[in-house]
Amino acid sequence: MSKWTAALTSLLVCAMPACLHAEDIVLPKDLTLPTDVSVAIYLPKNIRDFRNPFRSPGGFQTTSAVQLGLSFEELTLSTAQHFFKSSFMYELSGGVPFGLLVTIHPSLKKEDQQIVMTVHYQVYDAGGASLMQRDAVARLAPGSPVRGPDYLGSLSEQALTRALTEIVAELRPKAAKYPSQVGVSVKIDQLIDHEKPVVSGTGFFLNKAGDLLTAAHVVNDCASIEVRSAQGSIPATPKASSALLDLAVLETHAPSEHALSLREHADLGESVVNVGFPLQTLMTDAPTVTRGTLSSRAGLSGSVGQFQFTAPIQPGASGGPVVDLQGNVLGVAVGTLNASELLKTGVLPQNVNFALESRYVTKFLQQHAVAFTDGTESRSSGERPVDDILPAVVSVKCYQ
Amino acid sequence: MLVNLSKEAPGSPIQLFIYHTVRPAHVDAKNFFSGLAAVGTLGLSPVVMSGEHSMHYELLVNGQKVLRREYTANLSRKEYLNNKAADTTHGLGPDGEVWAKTTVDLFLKDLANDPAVRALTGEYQLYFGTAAASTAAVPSQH
Repeated sequence: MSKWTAALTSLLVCAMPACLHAEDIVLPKDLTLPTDVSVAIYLPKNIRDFRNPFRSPGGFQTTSAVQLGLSFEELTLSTAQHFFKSSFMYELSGGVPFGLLVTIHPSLKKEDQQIVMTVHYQVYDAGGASLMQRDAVARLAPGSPVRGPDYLGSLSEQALTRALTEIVAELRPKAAKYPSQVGVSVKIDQLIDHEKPVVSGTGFFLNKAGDLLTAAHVVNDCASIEVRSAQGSIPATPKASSALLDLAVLETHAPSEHALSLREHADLGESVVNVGFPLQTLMTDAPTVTRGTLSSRAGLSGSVGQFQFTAPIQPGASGGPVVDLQGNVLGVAVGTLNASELLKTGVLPQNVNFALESRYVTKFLQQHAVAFTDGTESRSSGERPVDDILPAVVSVKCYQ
Repeated sequence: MLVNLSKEAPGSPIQLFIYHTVRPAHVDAKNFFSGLAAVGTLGLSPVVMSGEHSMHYELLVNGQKVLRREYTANLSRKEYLNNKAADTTHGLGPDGEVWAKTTVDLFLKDLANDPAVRALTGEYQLYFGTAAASTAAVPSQH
């Protein structure tokens, strides 16, 4: 039994800087760590770089951050090396052989004045068969004698240690039992957290082939993208993207009867309608419609290609269409003023929202050979009921 | 691309973040907090910490990282000042400040040679041309 193995039990009972409120886990006495099984670890992209830079509460009059902690990825690999001789991050492109695959989805919350780190984990063999899944929990109680500057790192390390201890205690993994293979049977659906999208936004169909437009930041680094509408849910994949314009085209391969046309050169003061799927953690999957005017041809200082509009938007409206009264897209909603930040300066902004002008959208679509309809001709026609527009607008969800 | 750097361009799609971090050497939770306690009780602040100092440069486009560079040096100094005095070197110390300034040229060289940055410059010209001069925002630090 290695020194690390012997130390694990006490570590799990009371690890520095905070004590765990968890039952002890007994490791089999004949189990030697680290084991020789090769382990691939899947972490959601948005959590990999997470770290807890500690900043002094006023002691340092500097613009610097004291960086005591490791990133979550570094922390995971450094913890895993005590359990497995070979462990590495699993990339969606695959191709690297492994004996076991561990998916890790951490979450942090406050509960009864405690900080609770939950690591939901699932273990697969190289053939894609699920071997076990569980939640490993670590808590930081109020009044803990030493929380430590990198208390989130410590808490994460405890939860990870518990998870990996449970895995080796239950599976007793060895290379002979779980030989390394390229995990061809592991599907993306087995890796991601289906319950909670990491980002939600809005999109709209551009053509009858089922291509839709959304904001690029809604679909960055997604392992899986889902499009939801009144007709149900369909998967989507990126077809073209521009970080500079904050635009992305998704293809669904699901023909759509409803698509919005685009109109360039909007008029100042023109009435506009925004359709979006905001606040998806609170609201149902029904679109929200707001009305306003095109209030300025310019956006924030330094911005390019944006106009300002007054129709209210909320988080989750990104990528949604800002349309004229005939239903033609004048722009794509990309942002709003941060009211809470401005409130600190004594200013309360009202209905200051921004959209990328359609002329940049059409240029982007032409660059990537994506079909769309020019709506300039329909400008003289009568007002189109909002209900006609709604079927073309969808909720876009990004999973990791 | 960085000709028109400005701190007053919050709407710019291109943002350059520059920040400094310290990974203190031989500092554990207990004596780190002892140090902080000294700030309160003695009015002292360890303004230059020994350890691994890093200058970070991150070029983002609408929040998406295009280029990230980190330049690191081990600085082993420790000075104490009254915490009411402003630390004009931001915790780097005089020598550390000289080192930090040398990282600007290193970053500019990396920036010029990076294919993703070149592609971004080309895309900016394609959509916005010269009508809107490329302005990269440098947000206020921390």
